Amino acid sequence: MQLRTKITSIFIVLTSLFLTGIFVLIYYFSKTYTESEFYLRLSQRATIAAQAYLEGDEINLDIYDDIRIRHLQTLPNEKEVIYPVDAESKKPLVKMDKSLPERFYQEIFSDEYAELKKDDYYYTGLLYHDNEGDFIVVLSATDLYGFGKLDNLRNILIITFFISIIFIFILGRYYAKQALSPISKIIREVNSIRAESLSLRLDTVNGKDELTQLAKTFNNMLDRLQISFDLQNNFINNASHELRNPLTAILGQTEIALNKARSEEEYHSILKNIDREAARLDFLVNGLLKLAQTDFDSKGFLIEAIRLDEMLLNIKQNLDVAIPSNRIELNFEALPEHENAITLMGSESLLKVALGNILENACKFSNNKKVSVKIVSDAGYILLTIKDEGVGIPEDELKNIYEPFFRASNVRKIEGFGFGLPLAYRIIKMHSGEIRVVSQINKGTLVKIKLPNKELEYLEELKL
Amino acid sequence: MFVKKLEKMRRILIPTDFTIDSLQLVEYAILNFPDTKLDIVLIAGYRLPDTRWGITHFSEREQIREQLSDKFKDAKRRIVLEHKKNIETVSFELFTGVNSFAFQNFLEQMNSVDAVVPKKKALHCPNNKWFDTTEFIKNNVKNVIEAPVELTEKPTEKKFSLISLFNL
Repeated sequence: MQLRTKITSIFIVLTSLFLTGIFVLIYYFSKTYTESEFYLRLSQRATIAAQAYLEGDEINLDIYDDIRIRHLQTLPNEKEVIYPVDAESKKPLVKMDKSLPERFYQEIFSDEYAELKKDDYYYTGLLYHDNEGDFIVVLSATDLYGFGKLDNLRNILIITFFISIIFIFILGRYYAKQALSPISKIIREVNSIRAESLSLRLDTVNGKDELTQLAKTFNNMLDRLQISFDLQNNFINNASHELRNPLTAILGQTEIALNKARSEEEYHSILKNIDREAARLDFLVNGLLKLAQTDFDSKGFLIEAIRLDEMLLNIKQNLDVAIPSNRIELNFEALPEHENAITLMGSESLLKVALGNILENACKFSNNKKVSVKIVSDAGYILLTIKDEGVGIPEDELKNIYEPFFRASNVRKIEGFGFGLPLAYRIIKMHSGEIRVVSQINKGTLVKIKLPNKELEYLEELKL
Repeated sequence: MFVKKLEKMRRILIPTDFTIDSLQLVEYAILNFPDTKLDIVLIAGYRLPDTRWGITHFSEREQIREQLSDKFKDAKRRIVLEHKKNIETVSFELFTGVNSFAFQNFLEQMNSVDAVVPKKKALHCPNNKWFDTTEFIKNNVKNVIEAPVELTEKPTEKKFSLISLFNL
């Protein structure tokens, strides 16, 4: 059964039950009210009848009859019977109508008033005390108007019920369609995404509902898929291209060396060039290997507790050797008192590569101007800010900076391969972190990294 | 250790729509004014009510407070925490005028010549009572820096409206 039909059916069943309940209540209370109103009229007429017949000796009987007929409308099938009784011994003095139950008379004796409904007839009985003795007055009639009204009400309620069900069916079907339309849209959009159009994303609006969450989950999955696909698609092309350059240089140098006999200095120079290119090749291959490794899961990496401030100091020491003129300023002023707040669980070697790359980039692309690094901890996260005053990244190229081998148009002259930041991005993602880059041409770049600290992991474990 | 003294304080005007994305402009302000203590003023445009009751009971602080979501407050707190050295204060101001003359008067009160605004239309006001002050700032502030704002989330439709209930 289609979800739409299912929702509509459940909607109709529930609404029908609700309506039936309401309508039954309306009918029941109307019936009770009509009956009580009719009994009241019966009792009034019984009193009048008693006064007319039993006090006829005191005033003119004809006047009573006249009033009754002219001013008080006779009820349909109205019948009145008066029985002389002995109220003290609760016994009738004449034969009473046996068709009425005994308990009806007993109730009249005990309560001086009783009501009864038998078939279509309503009976009211009352005990009347007179100077001539005690009497039971029984008045019966049928409530033709009441029955008519109740029949009418019942018919209206039944018709209303069916009309409501038809409306509810139409509305329910329309609303079910509306409610499920985002799902149909998601299905359509997901179906339109092919291997060659993995950059497409589902439309998400800012909201907290389940469908937005579903769309976001799909988008996250597509992000991961796209990264894998892009890597697969571009990796071989880019890697071969990058590997070819030093290889061509090496081959060129060897060709020159073998072309004719050379002096010792010339061979020395050629070997030096070959060594430089080979070192470049080695660096490139190592980098590519690391990049490839991060695309696999985190199995195989040693996960341990890392103090980020210590790691940054370590990276700074390494960079001081590699780039002696760097002006990295570590700002640990806002370090928290608790150690866990700046400790995270992760792979030390990978995080070192990631943060090292970002810091190296900051120095490299700012021509060794000041680079401020600040570390703070807030609500379960370590926030790392790396700010440089370098060349910045062009606005329209910001979205490509995490693609392997991508190099911004304004830094092509600066040496590099374009896998430092993509590698850092993947490593940070692997550690359930976030990285965001804010940059402006010739003003600088601000890299913001958010990593979950040990406190958060401990809290999440507690929740589990 | 020699610590470079920060330049005297600068007041930077930044338009806001009370979204986390709009706070990126604060980061661009920090990037553009390094070594400067910043007094960030987030400006939102608000149309004054047209009833006497509305005007007499209008409270600027109350209107701003209603717009501040917990996420926004968290993001603002984090930015201040991360850039404590550069940010002196982050405050909110409502511009309730309707034209450039009113904005110039507003600017006189603000006493600022610097502003950071989004390059493209990136701010989306929560409802028709609010309006984007970017154009007013661009036209009237002396030193305007335009910065790209990356929208991470699409603007939502009107909250709590009957239409949004049916428009799934």
